[in-house]
Amino acid sequence: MGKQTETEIAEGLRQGNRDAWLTLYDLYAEKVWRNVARLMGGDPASVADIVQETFLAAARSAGNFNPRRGSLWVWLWTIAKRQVALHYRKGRQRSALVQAQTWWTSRNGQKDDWLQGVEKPPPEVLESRELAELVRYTLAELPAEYQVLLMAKYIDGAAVEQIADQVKGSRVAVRSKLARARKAFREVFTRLTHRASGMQEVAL
Amino acid sequence: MRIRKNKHAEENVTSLLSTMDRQAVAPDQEFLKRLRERSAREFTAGAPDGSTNTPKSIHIATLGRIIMRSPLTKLAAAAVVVIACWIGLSLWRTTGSGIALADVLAQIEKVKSARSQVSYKITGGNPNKPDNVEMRHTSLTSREYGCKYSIELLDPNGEWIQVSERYFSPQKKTEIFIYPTEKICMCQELEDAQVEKIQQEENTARDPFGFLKEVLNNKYESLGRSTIDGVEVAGFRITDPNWFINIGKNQQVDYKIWADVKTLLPVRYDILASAEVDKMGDRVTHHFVIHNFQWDVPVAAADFEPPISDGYTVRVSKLPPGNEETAIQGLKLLVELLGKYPENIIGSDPRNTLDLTVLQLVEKSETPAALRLKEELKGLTEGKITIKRVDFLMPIRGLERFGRRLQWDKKDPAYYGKTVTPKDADKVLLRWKVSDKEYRVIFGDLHAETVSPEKLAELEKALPK
Repeated sequence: MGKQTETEIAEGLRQGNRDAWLTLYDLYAEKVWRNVARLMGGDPASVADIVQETFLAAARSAGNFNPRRGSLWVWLWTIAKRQVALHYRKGRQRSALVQAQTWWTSRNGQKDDWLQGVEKPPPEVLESRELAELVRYTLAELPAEYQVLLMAKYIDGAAVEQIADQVKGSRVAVRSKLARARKAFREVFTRLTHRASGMQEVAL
Repeated sequence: MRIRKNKHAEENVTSLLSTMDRQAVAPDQEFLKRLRERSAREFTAGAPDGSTNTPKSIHIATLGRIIMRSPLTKLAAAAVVVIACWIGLSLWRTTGSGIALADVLAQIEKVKSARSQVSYKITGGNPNKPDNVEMRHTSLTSREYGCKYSIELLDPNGEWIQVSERYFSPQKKTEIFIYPTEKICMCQELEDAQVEKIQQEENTARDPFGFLKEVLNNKYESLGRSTIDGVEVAGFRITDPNWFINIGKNQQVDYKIWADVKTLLPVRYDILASAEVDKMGDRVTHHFVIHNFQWDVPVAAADFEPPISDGYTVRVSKLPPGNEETAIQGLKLLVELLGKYPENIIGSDPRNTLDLTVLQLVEKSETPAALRLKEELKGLTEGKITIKRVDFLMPIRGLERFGRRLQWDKKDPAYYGKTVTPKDADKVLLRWKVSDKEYRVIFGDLHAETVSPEKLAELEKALPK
């Protein structure tokens, strides 16, 4: 989205213009859904619940959106991330994480190569539900900005230039933040898996 | 091998993150269509010509988040705490003489106990996350027993919700916080210096005597006479921006005090303060009204006993022993949280403790431990944040205590956190004298050794300037 469009939407939101809100919604509703769904896994009711809470909360505060503070997308995703975090705290079953950690521990000895970054992870590992659960918990623990960057770059396959446009930052800043986001991801993932096995560094 | 590792690093991130996509449910278009309309209605309802921007209902936990969301509102909450004892603690102090306001001072000096109410509203601030907090508290203070107060928050439905109670007893040397909703009781055992400092702080900077004395010097104007709730009062105004807890840049303060012309005791304080809270020039406004004074109310010791019933979680926090072991634990935790050693290990005063300073530094830190802590604190209610802080940061308090003890015992301590890093295994981080022939040294990598004064001199000579 061009800067001009974003500025126009922001101005419209400030004035209470319904069309501005609908433009924002049309631009981001599916994107919010997809990213929430990634973090939530296969639970459509929870995803719908969080998406709804996100947009209702955004609708209530949209008039105060200040474009000088960041892009619409980062603002919107910060709200969504908060809703996801609330959901995790309220209801998400820790048993799923424990199960995933147990699975991780049980694979001890078979994952060394790819964990050391020497080989690619084997397909059966990547396809496992437990690994996805560990990754979701990891991502959910990161700040909203890191989530935006990691999902845009590594799941949506967006170029750095596109991400810079989305987050209203420079390419250099995006690259630098991506590096920090990867580091944070690795460290949280390591912590979660360490809790399970008490060993194994993860080289990502 | 290293190159291959790096090559796979990004690919592995991609592979791992992609696993989330396989189970992700596709957008429910019908649902999104319905939500489109509903959210648009919500948006227009909160538009400038609509009804309100305020959520229809906020749970108590959310209120806690609102209060603790920004440093500013934390400061505001702290200000409530200060103001709460502001009236009462002033009873422990005497002051000079003068004209009309001096007569008010003289009358307050005679008072042995007081009850009052503070209404407190914060508005404005960052437009994306505007502050809109309304609080009130009642306080009871006695020269003999100490002070207590309770804080309540106004929820968007117009209901007052009790958040916490505080009991401060100089005699018992305790400061107790009660969180009724969460059934949590935090009891802090204070050291003499802390008790003294709390009293001193209230008495020098923020009590009405201090204020009135300044006013008497040259910085007030008379507002003449007026009537408040049927009582004839005399008013005085001060606009010195320094007469309020610092809330930001370009602070403006309008500060009025009204006193009963017959009893010469205060009837109402009205404090309106505003300041810039960010680089964009956004301003926040704090409005305090201190009123409903009742002077010389009957009090008993039981009035100052916290009402703790069954089912409460009681935490008594006592400072950990200040020794080498706890000091090293504290230093280790600091590095995990900040990625480096702090410049000082002793807070500027007993109330501004090192753990509180560290919490502020953690806000800007991006170490995994700091990110984790920030994430864990998000959404916690005030009571749980306090417990978390006390439990988690206890080693840091142990470190600070150790540092203070070295000072008091004149053990010739020196700390070099400004220049020494956790990688500096051969550089002195902290040292103190054990005897005339020995010094104990904690090095940058946190191992400890006993060295001779000559060796220490050699080590310190090698320190970066």
